[in-house]
Amino acid sequence: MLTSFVLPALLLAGLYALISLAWVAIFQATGAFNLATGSFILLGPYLVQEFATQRGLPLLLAIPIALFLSAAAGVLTYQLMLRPLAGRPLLAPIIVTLGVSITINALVQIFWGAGSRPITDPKVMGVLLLSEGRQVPILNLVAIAASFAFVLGVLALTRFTRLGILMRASAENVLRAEQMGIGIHRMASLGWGIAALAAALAGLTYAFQNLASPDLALLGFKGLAPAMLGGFQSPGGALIGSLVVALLETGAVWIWGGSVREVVPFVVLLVILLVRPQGLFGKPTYLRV
Amino acid sequence: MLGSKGLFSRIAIGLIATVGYGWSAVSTAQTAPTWEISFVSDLSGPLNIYGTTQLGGLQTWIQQVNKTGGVAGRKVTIKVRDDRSDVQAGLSAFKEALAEKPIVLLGPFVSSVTAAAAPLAERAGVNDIMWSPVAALMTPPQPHLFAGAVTLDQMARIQASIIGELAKNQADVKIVIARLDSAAGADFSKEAQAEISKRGWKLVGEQKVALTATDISDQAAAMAKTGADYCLCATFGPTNLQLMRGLRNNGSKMVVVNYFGGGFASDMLALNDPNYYAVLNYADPGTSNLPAAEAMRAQAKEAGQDKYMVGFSFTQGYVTGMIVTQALETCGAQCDSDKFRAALKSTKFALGNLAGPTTLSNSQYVVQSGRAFRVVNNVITTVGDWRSLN
Amino acid sequence: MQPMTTERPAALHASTSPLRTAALPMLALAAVGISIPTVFPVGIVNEAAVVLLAVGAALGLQMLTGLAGQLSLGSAALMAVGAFTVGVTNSVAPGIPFVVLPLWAGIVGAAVGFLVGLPALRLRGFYLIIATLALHYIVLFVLQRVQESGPGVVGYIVQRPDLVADDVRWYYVLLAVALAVTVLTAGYKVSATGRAWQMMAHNEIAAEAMGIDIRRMKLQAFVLSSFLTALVGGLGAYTIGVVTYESYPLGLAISYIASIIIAGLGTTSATWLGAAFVIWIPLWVTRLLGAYGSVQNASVNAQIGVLIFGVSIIGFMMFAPGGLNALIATAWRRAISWVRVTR
Repeated sequence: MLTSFVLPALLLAGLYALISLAWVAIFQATGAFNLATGSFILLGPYLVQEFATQRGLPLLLAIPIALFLSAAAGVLTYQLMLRPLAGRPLLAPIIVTLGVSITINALVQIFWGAGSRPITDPKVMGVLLLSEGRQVPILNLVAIAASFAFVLGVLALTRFTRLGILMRASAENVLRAEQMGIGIHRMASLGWGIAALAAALAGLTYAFQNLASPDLALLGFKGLAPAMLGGFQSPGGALIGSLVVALLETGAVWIWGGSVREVVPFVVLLVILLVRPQGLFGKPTYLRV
Repeated sequence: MLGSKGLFSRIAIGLIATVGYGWSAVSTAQTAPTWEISFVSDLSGPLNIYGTTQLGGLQTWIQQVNKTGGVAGRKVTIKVRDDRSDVQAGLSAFKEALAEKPIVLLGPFVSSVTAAAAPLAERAGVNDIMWSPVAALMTPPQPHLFAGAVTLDQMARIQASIIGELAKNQADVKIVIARLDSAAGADFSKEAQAEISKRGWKLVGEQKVALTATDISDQAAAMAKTGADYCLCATFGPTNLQLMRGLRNNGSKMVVVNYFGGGFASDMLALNDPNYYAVLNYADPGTSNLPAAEAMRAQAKEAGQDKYMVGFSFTQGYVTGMIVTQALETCGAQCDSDKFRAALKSTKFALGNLAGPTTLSNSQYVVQSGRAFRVVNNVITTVGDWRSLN
Repeated sequence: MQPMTTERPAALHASTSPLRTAALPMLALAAVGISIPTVFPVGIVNEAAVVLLAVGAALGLQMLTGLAGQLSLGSAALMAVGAFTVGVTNSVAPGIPFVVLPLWAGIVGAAVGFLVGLPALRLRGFYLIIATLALHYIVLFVLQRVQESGPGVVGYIVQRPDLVADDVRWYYVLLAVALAVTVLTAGYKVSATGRAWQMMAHNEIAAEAMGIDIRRMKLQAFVLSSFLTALVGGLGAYTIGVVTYESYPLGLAISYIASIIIAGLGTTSATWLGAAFVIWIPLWVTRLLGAYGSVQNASVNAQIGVLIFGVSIIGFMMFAPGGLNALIATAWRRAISWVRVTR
């Protein structure tokens, strides 16, 4: 039960928590729907692979560098491409992020090829021994902990720090915030940086146990379901949504077998959209026709 | 006025088309006649690792042959095309290749392209050695279509016979199936189940693995729980790694016999698990106890193709090249398409154990057997001999 | 102070000759289309056939997204529905005449569009696009199971009748269909329905206030667009000759969205250019690069082609949001006024 359900579900939940945070943070910061979230997921593991495996830097150095560069990519995307589009209809930033995602995915494959690459042996941190000959790589547990810690950290940031309050103010009413002297572009960049960081971290936690591969980009869309369930309004909602969706997915595989794995998040997504589009914790903002 | 404008733009368009529309064929402009063979495989799609390595192997052998003057006094040139594993693109590439009427066409690679394309080759009377065949095209056998690999369901039979060998003195054998969640995987599963009941084994579970699955540690744990002795597996890529790690982490010592998709050298060496077998139709280039493989490696280095020696598909290209040139030799200087086909049927091929014994006299399968490979002491070694289809 | 102008306001211009402005480019496209098989080898003709299919699908999307403003990522799934309808029907009832099947595919697609459109009435903006994204994966999941329970990995084999078995002839069939769909789209654009769509896309609340039945308009857009897309999907099945679920990834839907963006939202003739751009730019970049380097680097070359494509999307959206249509129209106007000035 532990290794066949609980741990995999927690791992998945941690992954989803980070990815849905990436969606929510950008939506909160700029009202944009970032189709390039999946591509930011790719950046984490491939950059670590480049610095650690290819160039021989120690992991403790490679990871922060990779995360920093990913966050920078997020900020750059905002400053270069989304900021000039302010005031344009909704479709514009969506399409631009689509272009960004295609571009980043292509760049990753140009530099690192289409195959998958291992980053490290998951046993690198040792294993935790269980009964019946089973063992859990400690790296997996660290990954789970790190994912939740990061999301909770961001939640705490937005709730309890002055910076967080400024970010939320900027998100809630851009005009008012600007009038009050809040650097709205700085807040928006911060949001994008956090989102890209979260996505890259998600990619890392996955790739450390497995491989870095171009398929990781698809994770981005699966992370929409938890974000939607939580209501796109807060990281806290995303966290709860992640737990629910991860449980549903692992449970569905338990009952119906592996074929349903890929489709469960999308069924959940559809149900949410049809029944309660604002999710569990969101406020209905759109006019129904 | 419109007439001359139209003509001018036509010429301009034609020129641009000719310049831009360039397939970099291996041959430079030749003055002497050459044997033209056509190559169509995935060079840039999701499965491009196969196509690029196949081409590498093929070019290695052909360069070797051309060094000694070619076959029957003529050198061999390869016309290369990319099918991108996409049905539309693959079909166009294939049709163009057909129009050139090569003496033999090697390709396509992915089954869905093959299903649409190969019948066209039969209709056009062009010899086609498919990199991966489609069962429906092999029964009833069609004279121009040859299979350069076995189908996934046949692979299941070979894998089962290898498990039979490994479990020879065991009573009460429990088997679990793990396969890709795809149409090909479904075919594999059907055949695997038939084999399992035929041999009186017990099927204790089946796992379908999504191609893009994020994390399958739950499925691996479920597999381990079944207490199976063997896995009749058809998984590859990152999911394969997860599966193996998941199995071992859950205390399962089951012996895994995987199909060729899980048999790339890098994957096997990364796993480094002596209880992990991959059944290949062509020997891995890095095989330790095989002189022909050593020769192949040396030739690859000379030809500058050694970076493509990453898996059995390199050998597939190499061996297919051998078959083609050996048939050409039998055929002689006056060879044409029909004579070539007859030569394929009558030649006794010498493949140096890089593939199993092959004769096409009563079969359309260029490859008729599989062999188990595993990693022992960080080196890829063969296990047992070639096991044939029947 | 503004000088008095003797020019009539643009709006009045628009209502006098919408079909005339559309007719000229359409004739040009028809002329180019007809001449392609005479100039180029059959390999290029086959690629052009693929472009024509993309034009059809993109125009279907133009109706839904370009005119009616309903963002959708569902075109790949609809193409698949159309193709599978043809494949399954053909294998179950092979006697049905060839002309009927694509239309039947369109009808099935329309039904799907209706079913999707009903709940979609309540969703707007990115909620809608997410919903269509989810639907894509769900529909493809179902179709995969259908294929697995039927022909398996081979897929459904679909053969054209002998009359159109020749590739060049089939190309002309597709050309005719693409032109027909173009005329249809242009016609809708200037019709009452089309104007209502555009007003709805611009400002839904205002449109409703003016008495437009939003629900009916949206449903109509969904149904019509789905009919066309599925019909094109059915024709696609005949073009390729085999129907498999792997031929319809999300990337296909994305490429259609890219086509209409690059062409310009709501445009008809320019959509041809958008579709051609999306299909041929990556291809030609790959070829050009391949001609000067090793063919074994094909995958890197292909990715460079995709890179250029991705950057183009960004570029168009940021600097030329009106798409190729706007660029060409501006260039044309400048050329005309230059001619006038120099007279």
